Amino acid sequence: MGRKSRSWKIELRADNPKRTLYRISAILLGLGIALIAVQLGISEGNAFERILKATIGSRKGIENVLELAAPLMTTGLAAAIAIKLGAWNVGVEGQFFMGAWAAAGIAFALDGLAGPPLLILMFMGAIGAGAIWMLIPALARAYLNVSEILTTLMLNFVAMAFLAYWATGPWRDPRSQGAVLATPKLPEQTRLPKLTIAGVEIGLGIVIGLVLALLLTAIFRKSVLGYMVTTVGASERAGAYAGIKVRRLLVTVLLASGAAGGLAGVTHMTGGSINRYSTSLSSNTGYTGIAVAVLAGGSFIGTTAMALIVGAIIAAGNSLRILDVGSELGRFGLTGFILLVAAVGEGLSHYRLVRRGRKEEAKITDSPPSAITSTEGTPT
Amino acid sequence: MIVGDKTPPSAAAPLVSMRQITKQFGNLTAVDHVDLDVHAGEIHAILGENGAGKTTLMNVLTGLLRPDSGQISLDGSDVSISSPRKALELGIGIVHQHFRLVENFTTAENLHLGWKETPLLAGSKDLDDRTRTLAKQFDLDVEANARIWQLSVGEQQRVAILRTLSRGARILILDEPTAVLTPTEAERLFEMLRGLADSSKQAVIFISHKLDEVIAASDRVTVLRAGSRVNTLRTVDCNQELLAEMMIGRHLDTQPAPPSTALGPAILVGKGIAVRNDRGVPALEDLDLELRKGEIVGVAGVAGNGQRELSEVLTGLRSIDAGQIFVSGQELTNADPADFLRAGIGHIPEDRYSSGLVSSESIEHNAILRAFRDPPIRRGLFLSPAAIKDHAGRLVDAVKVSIRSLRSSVRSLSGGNAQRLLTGREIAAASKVLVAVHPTRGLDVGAAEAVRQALLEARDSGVGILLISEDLSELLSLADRTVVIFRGRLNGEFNRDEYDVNTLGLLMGGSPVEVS
Repeated sequence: MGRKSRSWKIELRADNPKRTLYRISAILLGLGIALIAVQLGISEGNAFERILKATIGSRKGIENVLELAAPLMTTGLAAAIAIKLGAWNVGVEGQFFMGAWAAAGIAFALDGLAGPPLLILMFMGAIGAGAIWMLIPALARAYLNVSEILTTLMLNFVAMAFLAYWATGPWRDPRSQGAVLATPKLPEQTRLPKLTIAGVEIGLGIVIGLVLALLLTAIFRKSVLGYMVTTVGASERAGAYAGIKVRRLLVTVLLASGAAGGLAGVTHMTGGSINRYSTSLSSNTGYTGIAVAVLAGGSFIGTTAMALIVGAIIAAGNSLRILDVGSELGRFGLTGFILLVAAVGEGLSHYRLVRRGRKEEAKITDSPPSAITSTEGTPT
Repeated sequence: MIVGDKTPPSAAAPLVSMRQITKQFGNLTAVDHVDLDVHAGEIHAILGENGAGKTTLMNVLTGLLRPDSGQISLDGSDVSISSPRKALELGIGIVHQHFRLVENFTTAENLHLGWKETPLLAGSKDLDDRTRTLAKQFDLDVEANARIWQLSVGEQQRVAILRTLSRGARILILDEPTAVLTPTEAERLFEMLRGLADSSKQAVIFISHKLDEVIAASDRVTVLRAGSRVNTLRTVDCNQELLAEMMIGRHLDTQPAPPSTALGPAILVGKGIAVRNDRGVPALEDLDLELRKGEIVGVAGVAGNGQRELSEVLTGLRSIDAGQIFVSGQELTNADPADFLRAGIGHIPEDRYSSGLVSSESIEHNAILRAFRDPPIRRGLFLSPAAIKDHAGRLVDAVKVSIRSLRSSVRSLSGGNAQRLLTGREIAAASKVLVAVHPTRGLDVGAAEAVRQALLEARDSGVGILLISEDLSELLSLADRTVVIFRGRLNGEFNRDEYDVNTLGLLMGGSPVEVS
């Protein structure tokens, strides 16, 4: 047939058992390049040293990273839940704040209660609020095919406006000034205790994130619900074929995603350093959580790991601000670059380089020819 | 040497000539030393049933496939058609069943999309004017500034044809053009094609399995069967019976299976079923069906006559517009797939990878797709890993597929093995009825035989099986009764061993025949 016998071709592969390796390598590569770039770009001081100190090189650094990572874990998990079904919960930010609102409301109203029961009620309220905030987008997506990306995103703005109302109205803190909208501090007993392991302070937020990740992994791998979600997530048609009520499943999973977003809000509010219902609770934590989940390839455990890595990246970026790297560029540019490399790595892990001319055993294309498919080489 | 050919007086030599074209896929010979000559100004029909090789042959002509051997010549000189683009350059254009038009664009925009001759800076008025000029040139009635989604299917097809002609196609190929048209639109189409052939001297080739069309609209017809050319005749020398016989063959190689031992009362009844397909065109019309316990009913017919919709309707994947469905007396009209499943209906679907199997998941996962809701696999809210492994292992053993691990992805299986897994699972899951669509497609001889055996065993244990298959011999061997589906209706009924090939062929080709 006159084809060149030795040429390379990029080919989609069915399975990549080393996919995690690809992902991690990509992230490390991105980190490495970013570090080199930064070091080359600054006039004095050693970027590498500074970054190391700010992240894993010192006790304070580690604590800093953990604090940054904690909310990202839960928001990441919230996004990951939706991703299992191929849906996008862009409203994690809003659910985060609504969860915090519900918890704050309960705290202010029942401030006579002791710590543990009050906290339990707050957490339940927050989870419920997050789920309710997701109700309309979930129903609209399942029954009306309205894009959940749009609906959840729009509701984020509503949640912020909601916060503005409460923080400047009924829950106004007479002593606050400036641009930050915040309520007075929550009752003392609602502060989550911190654990100390090996001399390092770890907030409960991390613990909650890890526990949630393990719980979700168990549910998805072992339960009937998890089986149905995996099936529908892979193919809605297969789900329908198997007799799964796809729409009901979609709503259930999306509500769970919203609930997790609410959980992230109350956890951060009570477990972090900001014990108020305030705009400063989140610096795009909800949106960053989505990136974390995507980078982790939708795996729950992977999301917790990714949250730590992204937390470290943010800490590194912050530390460079002082070195005149240009704070915005430093933080977002760095993070963005690494995310980009990681994403490309993820995409490339689906392909492999193959030398053409090999007789490959026909697999999926092994069926009688139809008008479209061809087991031949590519035509132009 | 083409037998029975009498060259039309208007042209001396054929415009396009395909000689001894052969194309194989693995050990399947799709096209076997086929000759085809088409002259300018001629409307040439290619007739054949499923798997005859019609589409493959045209794919070779349009550059989508390269033949393993054989030669194509245009205007007397040999050419090598290496790609669809090359084919278009040579003046060979095809209009597929699915038109490939951009629905949101206008006719003029679709016409000019991706076309070298489109001027760089052209306003929509310019494009409209150019479109109108072209339409007039080819005498095709199209609306230049209408958006495609606004047009009827017949009009859309005209746009697709105009697009092909504008790019300089001298040989116009149409693949089952009337599959999506109403009878009136079909008439209009053939009138238009006649005009094209007569005035512009286009060579028109159309693929069809409908006998009446071929008789009415073509000058000559080439009949293909199982990859070989049976004959090429002038249409005036043919009638429907002759064509049907050529299409199906005089004898069918069938080895009738033993009759059912478990025949019982009706278990699945469909009355007056009417449903539309995804394009909104009626796919089933006033269809009545009765399937008895312990019986295999075969549904014969050329692909695209409603088989897919029938299987979807009987398994809950598609809701019907009219009519009723009963299983064991219980009404299941418009029930969802879960209800059909619970009623004991298994389904070997037409597209195994998009519904029957979840290709990204493991063999284990797929093996329990029907069984995960019940014990022993389900334990309360959770699934028992041991029970899953057991179930999957037994399935894999039963269908004799050798695998690396139960956890490997279904994608790593060959198509044939995946089909065996799917078939085995569904036969096991069907306690009352099994709707089997092309169950042996893609399987080698041994595997196909094993599936047929499994179907017979299921039948003899009391399951009613509706077998939809393109393989006529298989159908007639296995089925206790065979019906023919054409344009969404069931016609004719043959009991085992009582089929008449000619009548069968006529029915499959759409000819209304009185069957006693």
